[in-house]
Amino acid sequence: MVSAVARPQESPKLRLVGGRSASEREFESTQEEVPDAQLVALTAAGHRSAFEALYRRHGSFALGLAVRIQGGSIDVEDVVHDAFVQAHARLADLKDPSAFRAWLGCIVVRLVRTRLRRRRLLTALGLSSQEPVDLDAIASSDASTESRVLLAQVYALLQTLPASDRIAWTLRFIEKHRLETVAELMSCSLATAKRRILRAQRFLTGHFVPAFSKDDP
Amino acid sequence: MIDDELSELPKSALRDYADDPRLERVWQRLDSGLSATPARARSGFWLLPALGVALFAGGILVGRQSAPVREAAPSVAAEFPRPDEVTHEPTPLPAVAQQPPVPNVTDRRRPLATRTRGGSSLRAAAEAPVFEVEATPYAAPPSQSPDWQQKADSGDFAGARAALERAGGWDVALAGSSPEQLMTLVDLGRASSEREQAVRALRRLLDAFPGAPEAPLAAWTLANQLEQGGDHAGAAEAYALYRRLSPTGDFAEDAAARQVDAALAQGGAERASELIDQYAKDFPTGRRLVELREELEKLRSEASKDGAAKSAPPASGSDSTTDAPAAPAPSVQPQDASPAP
Repeated sequence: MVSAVARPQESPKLRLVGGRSASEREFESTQEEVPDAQLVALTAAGHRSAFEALYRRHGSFALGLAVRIQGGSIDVEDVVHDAFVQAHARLADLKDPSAFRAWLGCIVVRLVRTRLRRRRLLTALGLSSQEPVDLDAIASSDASTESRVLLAQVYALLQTLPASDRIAWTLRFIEKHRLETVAELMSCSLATAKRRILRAQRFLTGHFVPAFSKDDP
Repeated sequence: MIDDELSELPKSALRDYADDPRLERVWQRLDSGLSATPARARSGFWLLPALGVALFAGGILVGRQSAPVREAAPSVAAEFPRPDEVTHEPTPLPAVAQQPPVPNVTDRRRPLATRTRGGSSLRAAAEAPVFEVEATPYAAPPSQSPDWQQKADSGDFAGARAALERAGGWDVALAGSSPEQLMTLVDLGRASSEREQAVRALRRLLDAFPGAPEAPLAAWTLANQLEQGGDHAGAAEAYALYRRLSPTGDFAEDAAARQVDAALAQGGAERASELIDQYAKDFPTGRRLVELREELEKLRSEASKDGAAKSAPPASGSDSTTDAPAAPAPSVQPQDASPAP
């Protein structure tokens, strides 16, 4: 079972009672306060606006996650689109509706991993080329030069790693998730998540070159 | 270290996608897609012919790109005489029209470089040093990992146990395993509730591979296992070892606090006091500092009450102020608590 990825708490004020039209009216007026579990239930019952609310609430999370774990923004629109399509189609599989965000994260991670593996295979076969790191997609425009240099080097190194190791490390150190959450997002055991992170960490530590010394002015 | 550099990376350095215009585009696609197909009526069967068509088209596309067909070939065949027109005179082959050179697919590759957009980014990229990743191959783990490890990695612990027995048993695996495989054995032992086996694998890792990247995690796990088994002295040693191996690791503060827990559990007030001082020095805002000090005070007051009760009978001539009961003193040396380089 996935656990909720940290985000602002919601106050469960809406109670779904009575017929659909009444609940829809109530839902539309208090959309921002409806908890995920209730939005999931409403979506499963066919409420389009509930699904839109879920998308508006978690779309940016899915987009940012996809960009940062794949190191660029190529095809991320497709990833986010497919993730929400899959989520919509498989809402019945979600055992804990309040954990929609983490569940969506699992779907995004799986889609990106599949894409990265396919890309790696095509590159190995000479049918495709390695994608460049899109630094502007990762770093904010306000980021300092040091931060940009750091991210550029880290992502350039990450590109050479297998998809699973790269994603596990990114979730741990860029997204700053706990080990347990990394394991949940990657749908693997905690031990496997640790091993993947360790492998990536070992490689990065061996190749990372600090760009700025602490004594630099 | 890369950890330190990343820990200083502010969250604001990462781009925020809250108001990204792509979100609206994706929603438009989602909305139109959902309108066309209700979620509950959706079935995956239509995907099969679509997948077949896509694979076929993809195959043609890939085939065309990798081996372009020379279109002049049929015309060459057409100019050959029919069988009834064949004479014994050698017929010269007609010249095949020279095909234009086929562009090499590799020519279209973009160089491996960091892509930037906008003037400020270009300036930043110009200022930043260029990092070229050397073609050092990633040191992938050996693909010939034992069967039991593959099964354990996939979560099949029962199958891994059986495979381990077939491969000679626990002791054989323990003797010849790499650090990574030893951690798998630890998982296997814990999954089977065989704490003793897990502890043996952890001790083997720490003895044989103290410099392995897995060693800090092994020390931490060993401490947990020993603590759960009631071996507080051993747990305290293992926590101290973790702190030496990974002074700034994920569990460094917890290890410091749990060293104190172990000392308190053994009733060693003086030792606990020393460890609390060390904890406060290393983690001035430690989460458990107040709680541990309260525990220590409680232990001291209980010890003084016991001491007073024992000193009441006239026969008692022993030093009643010592706080340590009969539990063995931990073999942790004082320098264990200080982070090693």
